[in-house]
Amino acid sequence: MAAGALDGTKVVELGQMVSAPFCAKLFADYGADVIKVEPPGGDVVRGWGPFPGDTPHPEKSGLFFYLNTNKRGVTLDAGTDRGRELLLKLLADADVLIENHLPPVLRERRLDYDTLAAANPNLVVISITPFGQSGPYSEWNGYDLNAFHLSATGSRYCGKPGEAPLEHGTFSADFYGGMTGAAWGLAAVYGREVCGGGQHIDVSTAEAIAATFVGGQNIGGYAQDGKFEKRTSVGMPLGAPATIMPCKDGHVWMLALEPGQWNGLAQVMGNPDWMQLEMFQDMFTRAQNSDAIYPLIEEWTMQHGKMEIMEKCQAAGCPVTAVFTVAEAAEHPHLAAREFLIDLEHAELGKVRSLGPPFKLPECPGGASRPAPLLGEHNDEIYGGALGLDAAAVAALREDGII
Amino acid sequence: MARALPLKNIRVANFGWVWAGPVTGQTLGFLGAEVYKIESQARIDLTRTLPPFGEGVRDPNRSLSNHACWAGNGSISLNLKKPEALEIARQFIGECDVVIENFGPGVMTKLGLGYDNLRKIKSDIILFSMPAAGLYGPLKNVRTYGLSLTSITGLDSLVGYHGGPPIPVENAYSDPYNGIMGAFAVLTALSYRNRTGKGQHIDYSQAEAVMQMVGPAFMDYELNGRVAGPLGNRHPLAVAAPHGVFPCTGDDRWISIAVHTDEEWAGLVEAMGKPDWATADALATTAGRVSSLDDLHEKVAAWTAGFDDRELAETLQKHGVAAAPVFNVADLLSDPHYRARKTFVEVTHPLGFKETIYGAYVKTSAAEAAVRPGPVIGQDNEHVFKTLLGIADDRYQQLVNDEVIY
Repeated sequence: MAAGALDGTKVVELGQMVSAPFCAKLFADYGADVIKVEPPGGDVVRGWGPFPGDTPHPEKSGLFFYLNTNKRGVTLDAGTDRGRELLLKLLADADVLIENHLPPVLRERRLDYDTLAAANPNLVVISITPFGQSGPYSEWNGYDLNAFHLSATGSRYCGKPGEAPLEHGTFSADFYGGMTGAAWGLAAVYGREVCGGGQHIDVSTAEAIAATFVGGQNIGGYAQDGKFEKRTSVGMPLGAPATIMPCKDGHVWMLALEPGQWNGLAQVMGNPDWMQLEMFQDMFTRAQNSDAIYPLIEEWTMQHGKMEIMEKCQAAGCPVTAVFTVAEAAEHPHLAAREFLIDLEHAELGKVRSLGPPFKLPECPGGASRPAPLLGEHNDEIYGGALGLDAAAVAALREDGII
Repeated sequence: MARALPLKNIRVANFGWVWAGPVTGQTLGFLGAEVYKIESQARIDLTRTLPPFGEGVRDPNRSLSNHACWAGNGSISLNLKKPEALEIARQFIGECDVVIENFGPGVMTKLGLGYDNLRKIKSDIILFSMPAAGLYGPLKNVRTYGLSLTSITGLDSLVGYHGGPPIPVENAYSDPYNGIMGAFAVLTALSYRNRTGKGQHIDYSQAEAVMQMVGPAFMDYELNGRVAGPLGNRHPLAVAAPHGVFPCTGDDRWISIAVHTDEEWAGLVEAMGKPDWATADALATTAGRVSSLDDLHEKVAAWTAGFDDRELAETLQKHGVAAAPVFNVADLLSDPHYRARKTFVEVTHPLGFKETIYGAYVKTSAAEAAVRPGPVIGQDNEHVFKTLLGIADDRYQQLVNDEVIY
């Protein structure tokens, strides 16, 4: 396997669901040695699917497969004294712990940051939770959906006025928070010498989005002028055309704001007279007349396919794109040319395609070479090997349900 | 005890434009790096022209929405249309560890700032390029805006009310996402340089990074050939119910409720006062609840509609139910949780007005992130050009007069 950027970095993941596993996957994709520690019953995602043929099987969850490539897996009951001791041994020479428990859980298990730092002062602990380690909601129960909507993203930017604000249709807050934890956590690892050791990286998934997405563009104006805006279900209400529109075989992201873009669209549409009218030469006046122009554009889009519209508009200098289905996105020749999708052989799933790493490092490509671990697959290798327990000791741990 | 920030010895030249590139610089800046945006009065960044403005004064140095996203970057002004400015930019890059850019593929090369040139100036330079779809491949020149980039990843096809058409997200979620993920990319390359002494040219496709979020639906397509549509607020893998946003008293007030386990369901039933419909055996299991999702959601909505969102969230949390108010923009500023975490901070801009920006959106125990307001265009010119590059006073003045430093 090619050298990875993070070769030699030892990561322990004590995570379930999406946020911490995604964070650890980013480390694993670029060469870090990641040991995923699951409770004896396994990460709950093993029960989430999607499963081939919708038949549940703890080794066949597609989401588990995607989120846990390139990791080795052990089981451990961290709620028991012996399990806790074993975990501390794993952490003794680790560089990073990535975890996503609600804060009271690790405190009760005496695995809070202060305890971990006392045992290994060089350890960087990345905690990724909906609400963070401090503040009035830090003890709250919460999942991706709760965190996402605490960020005001749905209220401000997604959904129809007066109707329910919307999530992205994925684990949007978990992905965002997991990625954020990876960036800040890796910085802490990189800078351990100048910082004088490890530290605790506290990510609230809600806060990361509230600040950097919604806050960035809205809070300055609101704090000064006391005014704020809400979702409209139109892509960009102030300029037009700028929204998702139906076409013959699906949808397109219709965008033509600058004069050159508008002229490009007009050309593709066959230069209809109405598009030359003075009142439609400016994106703002077009938006003020959106009731008039959107139906006229839609009349045209409904006669054409999304790929054709995208291709012709792009060639005419107009940034219209097709709204790709997941299948169209996955099968696009662009991704094939970039070798973005990767094949991995899995003991239970067989050969499965997965998404490749998010960016390319030509000097040290890394990338996934190992499928997600089976439950406890590396117990013998890690407890027997790295931790030096003999076979009888590992067998005893297994018998007592610790691993 | 405050310790040093982890990236304190790193210097970054940021050619990033609009939002994503500036956020990469900001993230590295929050973490201690010395970051300078290279910009110019000759071509003012679009985001500097967006209202509202500090104290209502229209000025490219007073755009409030621009500041939060750029805070942490310094600024030097070079008019890159002038050969002398490019020469100074190259000289500056010689003093940097990292160069960030989010132009289209090939633009840096046309400017004479391609990777091959940069490594001649500094052999271990890290060039971070983040075009929409990467540096090569048939879509490499695709034109998108940040808010439409998600359309070519499959993500937009999942957003909307269940069973309805896709609904656009009205701003570029992908921009700050890629900005922060970009900082991770730069850090992987810095880590590699630390071990080997080698720099490199990172090929970051914003679309491929965003596509990571489509993982759950992608795997269902791979394993079952199924193509997902808009999901609303439903659980992406249909293993939790209720799982949605429900109305509360007041105008546009909502509560999010996500029930994954039987214990959480029991807590919700208890909080609702154990109505007959909720204690039915059919709803005792996740499978049962998921199979009657629409009906379940209707009944829960009828119940939540009589309560204040914050009070109801507190009550449900006491019963162990994952519930939280659905915030609007105004709530972000007044909410006690975000106040306690100092998510937003009031700062004094170099031009003298007060403004509110986001602070350290991640809490670090060793030392708090370095949050600085601004930047004003060219605020660091004297420091960088005179002190760092050693340009003499009279030549500096000439460069300003010639609108090279501009």
